[in-house]
Amino acid sequence: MVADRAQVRAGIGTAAGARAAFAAVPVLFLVIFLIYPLVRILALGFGPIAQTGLGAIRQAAVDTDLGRLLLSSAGQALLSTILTLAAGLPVAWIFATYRFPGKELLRALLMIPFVLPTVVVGSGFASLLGSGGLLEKLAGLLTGSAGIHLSIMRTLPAVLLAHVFYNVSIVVRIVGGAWSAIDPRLGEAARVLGAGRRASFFRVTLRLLLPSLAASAMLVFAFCFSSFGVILILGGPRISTLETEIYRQAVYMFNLPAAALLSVVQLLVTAAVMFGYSRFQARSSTIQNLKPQRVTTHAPRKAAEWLLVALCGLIPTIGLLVPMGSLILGSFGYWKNLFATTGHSLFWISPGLAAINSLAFATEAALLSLALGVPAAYLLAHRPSRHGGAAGAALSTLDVLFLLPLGTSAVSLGFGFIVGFNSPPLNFRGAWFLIPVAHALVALPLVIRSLLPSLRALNPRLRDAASVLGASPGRVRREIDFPILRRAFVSAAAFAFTVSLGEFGATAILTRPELVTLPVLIYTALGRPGASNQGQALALSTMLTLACAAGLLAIERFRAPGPEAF
Amino acid sequence: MRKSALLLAICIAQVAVPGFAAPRVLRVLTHSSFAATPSVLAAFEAANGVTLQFSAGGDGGETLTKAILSKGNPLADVLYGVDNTFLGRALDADILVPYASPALASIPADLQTDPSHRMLPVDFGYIDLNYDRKYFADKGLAVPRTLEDLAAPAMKSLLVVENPATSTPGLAFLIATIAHFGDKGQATWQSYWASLRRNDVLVVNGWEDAYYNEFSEQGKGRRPIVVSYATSPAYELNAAADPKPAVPPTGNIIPEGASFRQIEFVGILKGAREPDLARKFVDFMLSESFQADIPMQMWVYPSNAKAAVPELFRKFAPVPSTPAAIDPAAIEANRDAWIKAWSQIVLK
Repeated sequence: MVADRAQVRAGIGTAAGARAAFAAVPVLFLVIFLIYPLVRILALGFGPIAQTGLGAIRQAAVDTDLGRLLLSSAGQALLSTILTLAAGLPVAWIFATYRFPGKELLRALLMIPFVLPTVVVGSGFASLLGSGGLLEKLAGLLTGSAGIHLSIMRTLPAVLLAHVFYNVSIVVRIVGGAWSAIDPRLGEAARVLGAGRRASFFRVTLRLLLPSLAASAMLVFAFCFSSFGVILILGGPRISTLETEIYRQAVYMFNLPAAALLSVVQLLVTAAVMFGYSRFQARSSTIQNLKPQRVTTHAPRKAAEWLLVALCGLIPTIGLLVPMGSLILGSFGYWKNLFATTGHSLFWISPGLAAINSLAFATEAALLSLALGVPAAYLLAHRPSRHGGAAGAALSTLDVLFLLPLGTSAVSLGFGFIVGFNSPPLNFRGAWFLIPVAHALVALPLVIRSLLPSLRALNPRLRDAASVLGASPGRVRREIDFPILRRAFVSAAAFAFTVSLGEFGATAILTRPELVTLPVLIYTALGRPGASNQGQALALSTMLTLACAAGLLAIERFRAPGPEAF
Repeated sequence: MRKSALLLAICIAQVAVPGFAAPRVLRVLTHSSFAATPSVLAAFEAANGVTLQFSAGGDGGETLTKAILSKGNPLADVLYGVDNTFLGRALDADILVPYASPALASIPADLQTDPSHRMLPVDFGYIDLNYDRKYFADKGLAVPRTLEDLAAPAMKSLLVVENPATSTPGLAFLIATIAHFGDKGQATWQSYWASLRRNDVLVVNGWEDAYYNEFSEQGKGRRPIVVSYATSPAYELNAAADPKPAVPPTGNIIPEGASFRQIEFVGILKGAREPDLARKFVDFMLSESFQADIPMQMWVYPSNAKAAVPELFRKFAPVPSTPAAIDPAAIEANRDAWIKAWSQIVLK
């Protein structure tokens, strides 16, 4: 099979050179907007170290209590990943197996945490888990005694809960997407051949799901390992990650050598995790006959199935709606004030304008990250085993390179933009396009990871057949790849869109008053004292939630031409 | 797409209309809490034929870090929002040019902490403790008056403070305790914080978290004393729904000799594109018209002694008679060591 595929490929002449040129664009993008600014800021940090030698590195490691910090960051991220998988898999399963009313809405709902600023989520969690919160009241009701103090705010469980809240949609999207495309006949065949339910799941389904499981686990780990806002707000002063420590060292201590050392350590650890993942991913991918959802999903038939769907659907819905509901309830009474033309700070622009900016940047970032991510994913989908040797090693390196934005300290990169884009020819400071560029950078690993598992599983014989029948490479992509991979494309676009909509750190560094986005406006409202400003922040967050839901539903509804809806 | 079209249109317009004179632009980098009445700023713009372009740099520390990193080709012409906890770092970084504005004549000498006139005082405020009036009235508790009172058994589990490693009010309060207790003799600042820890002090990372999530007056929390700003009660009264109560729902606890005075400074960045306009803008920021706008906009006191201070401030945001006395150079020299020692005592 491998041989005749190679022959066909050689025959249709999609030259490797053309593909390399295609991939050069995303690589160049990463070099200019990620590697270069990072090198500039790290050089600034390591400058003093170069003069004073290793003693300075040792001093920086002692200053930051590096060993303990590294262990606690990694332990926390590992726990978060396990819990997120545990919470996400049942939901992924019902998404993959059943059609039920409200499915698209739930899918969109699950992504909304992505856009919510951590300050706002923190306040939602506080009313849930904090002193006098819902959890305490519930415990009081159950035990019949008042005065129970059960606040888990600023503890590890609060951080873990928030990480599950933020990241569960990664598991649902990536694993659910792959799961729903598995040919159900494979499992049925196993059952016919005498395998039990369990054996058929472990030997067939789980085996085929491994690449997507690994992809989502790796992404969740990387996000939690470099978590920032959640840690600062819900973790309190006793929990830290490398990223929060980088911020503290750079901004409050102005200890740039320590910040640079931590950035490098964070990058190395994530790169190591990614390298391991990349090897595993390439080995465990299996070519499948991906099936449209019409074939793989069905409405629940028995009462027990309905119950299961309701349970798996309702639990995350409640988990999402309680913090979000407290946000929406808290915003009542502040909407009128929000649209008043007077009494706001200088950095206040009308929320309507901020919403338009947000949506425009999100659309630009989604298009840009797809334009960069699709060629990158195509390049990576060609497995190293077939290239062997140097080509394989080059692909592995590229694979890790495209994941690097995940491990990069956002704080360092933001400051790197200031130092790096300071002088011609890269005198971009203040340019509006840096905002969608930064967003696309953050979204790129998510885009590539949501495309890759399906792209690797795609049966090449379909494409080969099309080519043999005379379809041009472009037509093959349009009529074979795209319809079959539609769900993956939609997920990729949705990830990029939401990441951009919710992005705060980079935007805050790069923004100008007229380019303010909703998250930046939320922080502007929070930056001034008073309950009314707090209420306005909640009202703005509600707006952001609505904008996000509307955008996601629009993306979800996007259908490939033709009747075959995957 | 929309923006690229706009950009293209601008480029074409500029090519098509040669000699089109753009108005001069003065760039001002400030912390994100900067606020002013638009008409006050518009008067400066009209008088000088200039457009003001503000950019918000985050909190004070972040803004200063950005200014230092863009040394040589600065992000702006004027930098506003460095406070006296960061003053030493701003001066050491050598990013500012001196300017002895004539307006300094109306500013009390004790606010002019930088004798080189690279950083000029614009406003000041006090960090102290706010308490929930209703809580203390309902419980029949005596409101604490001194720092020592906070360590008394009756005050157990009532206080929430900010982490000095991540929050300016937190750092200011730590510095105030250091100024008050010192590190010699029987009662040192270290032993004081150990006693606060035994009294179950709650530490959170930021002022927002302390004030909105843990302070009892704001509804959710159950701690009736919070490290906050001396103007917060006045703000609460101003923001209260009509009919307004006679007194704010919160009150100030101003411990003798232990409330930190935070001064905020403005300066002209080295390499500014518009140094003349920058000097004019600094004069303007210290002038009476801008200074009188400061209290109700930024909830701090104007540095210019001639500027009018609203009634609300005089009634509910008193200026402490004896603020904490501490040298800015000592802050810069010891900040990291203090924070480290504090973390060991309170968090570990």
